[in-house]
Amino acid sequence: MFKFCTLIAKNLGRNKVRTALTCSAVAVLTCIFTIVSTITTTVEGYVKNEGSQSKLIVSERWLTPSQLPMRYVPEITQLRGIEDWSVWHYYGGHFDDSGREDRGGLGIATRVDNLLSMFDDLDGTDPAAVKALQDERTGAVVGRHMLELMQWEIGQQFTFISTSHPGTNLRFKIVGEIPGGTWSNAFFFRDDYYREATGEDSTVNLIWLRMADAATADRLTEEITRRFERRQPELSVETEASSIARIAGRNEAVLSIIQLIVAVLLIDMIAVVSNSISIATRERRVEMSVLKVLGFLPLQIAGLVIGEAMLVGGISGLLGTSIAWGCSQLALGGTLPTNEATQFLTTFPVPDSALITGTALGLGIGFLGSILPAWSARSVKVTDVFAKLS
Amino acid sequence: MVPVAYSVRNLRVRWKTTLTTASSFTLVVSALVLMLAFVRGVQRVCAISGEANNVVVLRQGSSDESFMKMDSNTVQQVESFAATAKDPDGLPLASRELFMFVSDFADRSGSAGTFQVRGVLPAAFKVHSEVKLVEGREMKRGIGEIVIGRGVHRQYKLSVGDELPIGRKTWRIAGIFDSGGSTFDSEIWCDISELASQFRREGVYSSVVIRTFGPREAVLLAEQLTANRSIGVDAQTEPAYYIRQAEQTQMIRNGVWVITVFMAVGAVFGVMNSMYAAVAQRTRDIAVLRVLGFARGEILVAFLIESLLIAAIGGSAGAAIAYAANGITHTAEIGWKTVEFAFTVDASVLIMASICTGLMGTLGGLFPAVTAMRVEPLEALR
Repeated sequence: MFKFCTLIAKNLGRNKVRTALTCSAVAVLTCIFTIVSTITTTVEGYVKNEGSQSKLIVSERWLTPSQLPMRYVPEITQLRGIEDWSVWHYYGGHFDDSGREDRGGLGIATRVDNLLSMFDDLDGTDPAAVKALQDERTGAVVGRHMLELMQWEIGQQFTFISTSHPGTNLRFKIVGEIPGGTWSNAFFFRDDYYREATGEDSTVNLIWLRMADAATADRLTEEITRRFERRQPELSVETEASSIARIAGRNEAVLSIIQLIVAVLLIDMIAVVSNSISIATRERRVEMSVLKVLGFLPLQIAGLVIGEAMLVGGISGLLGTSIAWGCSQLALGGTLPTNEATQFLTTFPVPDSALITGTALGLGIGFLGSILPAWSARSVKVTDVFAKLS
Repeated sequence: MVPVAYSVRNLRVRWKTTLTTASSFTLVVSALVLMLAFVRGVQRVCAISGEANNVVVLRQGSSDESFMKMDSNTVQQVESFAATAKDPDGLPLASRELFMFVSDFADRSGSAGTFQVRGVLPAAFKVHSEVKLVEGREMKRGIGEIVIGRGVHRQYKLSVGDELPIGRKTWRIAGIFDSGGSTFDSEIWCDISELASQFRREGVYSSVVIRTFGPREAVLLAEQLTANRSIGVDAQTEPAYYIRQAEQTQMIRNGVWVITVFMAVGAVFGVMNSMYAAVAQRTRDIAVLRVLGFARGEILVAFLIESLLIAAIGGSAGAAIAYAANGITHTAEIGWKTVEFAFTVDASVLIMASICTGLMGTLGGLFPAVTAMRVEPLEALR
């Protein structure tokens, strides 16, 4: 077996240019495949997240953006089964007065005492930053992407030019950063500061509720819906998961195109590997005949071809995914410059597990791409090849 | 020069390799054309939305009407500007509008599940002259009637006379309008007072659209209004407003090019592989050509042509496949709004695809062609 593996490795070393080109092609395609498929898997992950099934979002039933009377908050949050709760006030606009699209973002005024326990996707935020938020009335934790784009540092102050509250441009002190991910263009700040500064203390945009389990969430959904059915405004209650699915559904066209690209990339990789291995097989028909004469079984010859392809695929898969993962880490760590191209990497960071799935994908691509050439190799007729030679 | 027929025949002889290599181009080009057709379609909707004579007035600091509120006092001040055109009765051609997103829990379309409802006054049809009723009539005020855009008609399969619940109230469809593919086609229009009273938004407006006497006057009015500090509004001509909305496709466009570059690099490596193999197989042929008197440059061109032919075959097939999507309508998000767009494979998209195909073919064939060019005839024939 060891000798067989050595033979596979040596075969690949015989035409280094071809091996390098095939590896490069598959690695480049795996790299972009990893980045693109991370977008869809991240969105799917949010929807399937078990935690998000036991978290409810209460909003105004008919209108977007929702606006609920503040008086609803105590009435809802005191219901039996609610473990924790929070509220959101939207505060949209731009991080400077340039009005540039890439400098637009969303501020969310909320309770900060339970910020990390209520919102899973803020997990990576430093608890010290949240503590600072509690101590500093004008404090804000800002998405890393925005911090880098604006070249701001912790401790610095900024004025947010609000478009949702024209004329009410609040000043904030940066007390911490939110790592990349969903909130890379946003910032969180204290709801008491928001209410005092904007004078909007009679409404909230959303109420978040956390329950122990999905069953309690179902019960409370029914209860709240029933209780507020004939009230003005009426309420809509949905799990975090279904809310994300609905938002993702609004971008169905883009997601469909992304899925199509993922499929195209897969087929493209198979075509590249298949082409390369086919050429190699055609060039080595004499050699394969000799192997047969020496006693190699057709299955072993096919295994040789498939092994070569899988080795190329596996190495390329690992290489391509490593590049994507490395770039993502560099973007998250702030080493890569912040721009629209790297924003994908911070909003949809490539997970560590991609290194394994990328390698497995490469192996799979190698296998699929080599089926036809392997079949052709195992069917080599010794007599035909030697007859041609003679 | 080495006859082109030589390159063509070589491709025919190695038809399996040719097809496999060309398939990479097919995939890359079809994906590129499809992605560009999406971006082009969305941009087109924004580009054809708005009339040059009209000025969109929003509350100061706003870039989108979706969540903005202006009071009646501000609106009256805006309408009183001299540049505002008048209708035959001497009334200002100003359209006060209230724009809302209303959830559709019946989720008829199976997609967004949100209606985009615009409360308007009768003046709206005079101000937005591109909006033409194609079926039925204008809605009557105060009796729960609506008119729907062509996009809504298609998406929800609604017709004149149908009833449509929006919120708790059921409305009757009086007509269907066509705005020539602009963003209005994805909207439902109704009487502003009825809409405001249903959702308790009386006395507030999202925007006012002012009709002026001409495009020049529109630009001047927009400048005057924005500069006027006592009113506190932002004004821009309608085309400028929608072009700004289209800027939101910039991120998608960047994404398209990043993906394309990666895919193209993959395809270039793939074609290089095939071409290197072709050169290796035909070293003796090349030597014979050299002995026959063909210059090194001619050999280089012959192999480049071969590579470009593979690219052309694959690229044409890719463009043809993606062309099937041309005209297919879908909805997409522009800012907060959902608009109906059609995948648009136009000349600009095809030219971009052709340039990419040519570049990929040239890059993929260049190095193997240089290798072919350097073949020493005597060495190769020995």
